Amino acid sequence: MAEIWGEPAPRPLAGNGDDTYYLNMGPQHPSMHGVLRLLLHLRGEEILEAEPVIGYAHRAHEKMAENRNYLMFLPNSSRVDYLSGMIYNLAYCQAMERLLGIEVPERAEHIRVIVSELNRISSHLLWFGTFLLDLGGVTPFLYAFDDREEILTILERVTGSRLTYSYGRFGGVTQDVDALFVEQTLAFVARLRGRMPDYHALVSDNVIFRHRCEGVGLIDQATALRYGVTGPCLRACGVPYDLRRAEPYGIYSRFSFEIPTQPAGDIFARYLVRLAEMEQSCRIIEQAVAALPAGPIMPEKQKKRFKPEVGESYFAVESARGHFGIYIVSDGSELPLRLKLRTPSFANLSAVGAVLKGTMIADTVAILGSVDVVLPEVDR
Amino acid sequence: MAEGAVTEGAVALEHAQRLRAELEAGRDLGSRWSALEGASSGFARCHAVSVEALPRLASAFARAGYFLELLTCLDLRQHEGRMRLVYTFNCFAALDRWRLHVDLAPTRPWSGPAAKPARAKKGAAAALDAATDAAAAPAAAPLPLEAPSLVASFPAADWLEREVFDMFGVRFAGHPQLKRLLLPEDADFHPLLKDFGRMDAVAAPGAGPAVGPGGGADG
Repeated sequence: MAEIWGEPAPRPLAGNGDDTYYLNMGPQHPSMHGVLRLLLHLRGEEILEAEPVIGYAHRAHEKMAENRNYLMFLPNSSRVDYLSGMIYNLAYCQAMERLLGIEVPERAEHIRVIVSELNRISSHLLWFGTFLLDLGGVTPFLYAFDDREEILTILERVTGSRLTYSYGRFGGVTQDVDALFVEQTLAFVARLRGRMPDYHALVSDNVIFRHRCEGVGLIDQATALRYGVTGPCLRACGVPYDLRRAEPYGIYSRFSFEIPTQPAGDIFARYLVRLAEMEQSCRIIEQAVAALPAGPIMPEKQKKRFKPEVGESYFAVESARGHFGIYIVSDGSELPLRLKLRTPSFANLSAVGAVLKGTMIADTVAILGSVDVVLPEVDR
Repeated sequence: MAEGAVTEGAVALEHAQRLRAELEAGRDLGSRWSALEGASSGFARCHAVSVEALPRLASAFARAGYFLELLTCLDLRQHEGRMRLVYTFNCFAALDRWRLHVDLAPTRPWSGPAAKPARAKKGAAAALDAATDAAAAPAAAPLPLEAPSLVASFPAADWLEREVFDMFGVRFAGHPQLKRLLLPEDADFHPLLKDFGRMDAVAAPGAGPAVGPGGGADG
């Protein structure tokens, strides 16, 4: 191998003796979320250093953005984070609407809120299932995917796709929703509410689960601030920062909902925050459905070519994983001069190395799972 | 320039303290955002600062409870002959997104097509400055080649600076290990530079270095 890859670079010893053990975890480890490699420096079972190695799913979205016009980038947006693709797709539309000064019809705004919150619930459900699978619990995974399937069916009927939705357009959405969509959505909300007590009984009160999660993988407020950690991981250390409230976009300022927080900052706190967020999403969906007005779903005048004014714009939304920002620099042409995606998983994962330091190797999978990173979103 | 930036750091501190007092008094800040001057662009305040002022400004932001939200780079070599770093700082308490521009001299000469005369008169960067009134550093002083690393104030800068180095080749002085982040460690190119070539022409001869088989890895 040496003739192909060259001699391995000498690594500084992180420990104080010869007993430091280097372990590559991933990128093809069964419990890894996507293709992440963790380079662990171990002394016995204790982690001395943990270095996340990323880039295995780098698809050059930002480079692609510079080589195609604004509309052509639309299908890319939902592929940045395929688990909450709807939120990312609509975020890109909203960023462009701000840049172009397009007004969105009321009905489209309400539909966007409903599908975004459904997508947030489906992302949290997938996290719930896979996180517990990592910890060895197979049953919650089956329950969560059963519920998630309902959401995918609802969204598939309206948008035509199950994962990478290109549902948004600059100014609205592609397809109108009908009475059946509303009926299915409300039925799902009722179903999920009926499931929540089961989830808590099955998992939250499970002694083994609590022992693995409580007091483990602490992210405190100072660490969150220094690394720019956002989303449920931030709210699990007591900071009520949610862009739907802090920087209201769309019509989120009209709905009443709470921002669930937990003081502890451990794995269990992050778990509780995500479960509570599903209930808050249900509340938002109910209010949006009740207020859903009749009317158009796209503006009357539609353009095919977009040339934003020269300038810079930053637009941020609260994705299922945290603060997702789109920074667009326009030079007045049909192609962006620069389109930068600030993804929450990138910042959250950069803090994981610091969080893993000093923990035991058996907790690695639990800590990493609780942060809920999506690697294609980290690498872009 | 440096003195002005330090004053702005003090302003940031004072601003954050005032916001915190408002939050503690239970004031609703939801409506405040629309009143901010930069609401249409998403930025509360925009400034161009020098590399000398940047570390002090960053530590002022860190003390004031701000986080480093974004760091990226703009390749403005074709029309302006410079690279521009863009930092944004924000806080969890309320909306206060600061955007800082730091201009650097390019380390690599521009190898793409020369600026068209029509566009050179009104280059993208010049127009950007006019649109956002973020005046660039005085042209008289030569631009620095490197930016200082902000890792001491914000560990988040570690990966962000590595990504900018990876994609643009900009170096950060004082970074603990400035190596590739997303691209292979033996890569010898910086793909987000504007003269790198188009994505779909990467494999064609002369269009830029080949980066491996196939594309179409979306999904």
